[in-house]
Amino acid sequence: MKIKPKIYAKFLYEKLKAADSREAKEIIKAFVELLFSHNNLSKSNQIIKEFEKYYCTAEGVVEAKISSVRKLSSTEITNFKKAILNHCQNQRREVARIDVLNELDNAILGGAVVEVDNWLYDGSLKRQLIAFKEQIIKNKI
Amino acid sequence: MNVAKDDLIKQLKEEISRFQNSVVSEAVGEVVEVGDGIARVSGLKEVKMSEMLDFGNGVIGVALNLEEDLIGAMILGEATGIKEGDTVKSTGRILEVPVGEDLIGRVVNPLGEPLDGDKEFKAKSHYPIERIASGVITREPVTTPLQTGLKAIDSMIPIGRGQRELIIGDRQTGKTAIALDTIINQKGKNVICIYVAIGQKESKAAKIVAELKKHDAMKHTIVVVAGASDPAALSFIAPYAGCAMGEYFMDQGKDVLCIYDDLSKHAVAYREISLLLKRPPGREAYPGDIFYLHSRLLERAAKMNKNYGGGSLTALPVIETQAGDVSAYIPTNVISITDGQIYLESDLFYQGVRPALNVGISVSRVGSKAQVKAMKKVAGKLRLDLSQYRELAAFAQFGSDLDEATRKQLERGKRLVEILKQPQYQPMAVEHQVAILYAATNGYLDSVPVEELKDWENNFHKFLDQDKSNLIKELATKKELTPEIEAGLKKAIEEFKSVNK
Repeated sequence: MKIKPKIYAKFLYEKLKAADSREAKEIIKAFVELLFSHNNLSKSNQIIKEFEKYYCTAEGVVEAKISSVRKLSSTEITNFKKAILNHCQNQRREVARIDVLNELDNAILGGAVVEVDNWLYDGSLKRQLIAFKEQIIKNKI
Repeated sequence: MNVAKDDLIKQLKEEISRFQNSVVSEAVGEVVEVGDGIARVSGLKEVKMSEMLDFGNGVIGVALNLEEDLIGAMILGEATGIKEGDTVKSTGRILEVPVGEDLIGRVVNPLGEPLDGDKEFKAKSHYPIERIASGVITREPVTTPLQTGLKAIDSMIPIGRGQRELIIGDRQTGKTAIALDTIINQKGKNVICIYVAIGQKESKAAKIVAELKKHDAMKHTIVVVAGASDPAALSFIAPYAGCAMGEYFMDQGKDVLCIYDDLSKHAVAYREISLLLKRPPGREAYPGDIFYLHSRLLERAAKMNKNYGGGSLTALPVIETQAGDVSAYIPTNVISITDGQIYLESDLFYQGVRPALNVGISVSRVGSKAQVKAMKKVAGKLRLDLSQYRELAAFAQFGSDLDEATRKQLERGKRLVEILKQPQYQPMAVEHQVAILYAATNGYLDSVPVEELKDWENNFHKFLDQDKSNLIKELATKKELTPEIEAGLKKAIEEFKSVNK
């Protein structure tokens, strides 16, 4: 039977849930052997991706990426976290922790772009300028 | 500059003050796998079937497979710029094409983008390429003829407006020629023609456009081209896009003729997409829904009733058979969907019978109700005479001693076959068709040698136009063989024969 990466990821998470670090090491070793015996080592990248996803959902971890032109201050990050929490509550997602990754991107010109859970909040200056251009064209100045 | 600087600055300031600074939120997915014009996308849980996806850089795709974790999408356009990890946005719109009068006379791709190098057009509106066909309540029976201008078809396999008539035959049997003649014949008849080239060579498409221009037929025609070098996804959507463009005019109460050339290649394109999307293959490796693929397209051909505008969409799908095998999967499917078929044979084509129509197995299931009365009167006899001729001709090969009646029947048959031959790009008006067929079926041509028939016919039409224009005009307006018109016609034929001895 063909086993999907998602099933492997779920299985691994369930096994690791109650394990301490020594047990975890052994479980992971056994898991890799299992993949090898199933001839599924080539799917390891997909399994890791699925595991990350499953882990985050099960543990209530929300990973968000914020792109900005300059590094954000801790106050700004806290404000963003509040907004992200609001988004998760709207999506009915349980949140235990929010991990924020602040990436610098000069292409957005200003403002910020937040990526969280397959959602994109675009508050960049670049998008606003494009929208402004479209408005001017529409109103035929 | 015509506007004063201060005015411009004032307007600009107003625009800036009006501008709403907002954050846009949208669902995004990620490309997991891409290749062969197909992409697998994770995320985008809210996406709907057939929804357009934005891959960035102006490349769009269509969601076709909605699976547990992934979406299988076909990419419409250049897929080389798309890589794993790219962001994909859903658009919330079903795939649609621009429609409107501006499209007439243009050559476009299945997305409605111009290919003829002419100026961009502004579409009045957009129509979804997939639409549920008109229901029973909105339709009415097919009653108006759609003249192809070909004697053999208009007399024996008549096509009505709103009908679906299949043109089927091997390669190089003149399928496209029939379609083109039909388009050319619609000049001045208030029928908008849409020619959809599916998976055809660009050179063939260019030749078709050139011929249509040469015969002044592009003024009422839209050509939709999905070339052989275009991705299968474009070939797949091409007939639906053409149909959507036609539906716009039908909704306005106009008559439309849609030619899908050809649906065999369309089926092959869909098979390619389905196999790449890992859908299970069935007979001849086509997916399970291949019948629905064509039935939902051809079902959109309709004759609407007066309450719904009274427009019509006639479909002429083309199917290419392999070595005359009509019992293959796709031909049998499309034969069963359509309201009749025009069957073309290579043997007849090489014998010089052009159009190479096999009258025996070609049928029109609804068109005879739409046939003009005059044609109906002359055509009834024609079919009978021809079928008797075919039967006798088969037997006559074995013996030379034939009785007088049989010999006469054979001679008549030969003349009928000769009369039904017609050169390409020379469609004939229905009144002229009636006149020549009347002469043939009533034995007026029995005394004319077969090899002289072509010239005789050409001169006869000239004679009718020059000397009997009133009779022809009356026949064209009344579309009926009244005793007076019939007497006039008899007189004209005899007069011409006496002059042309």
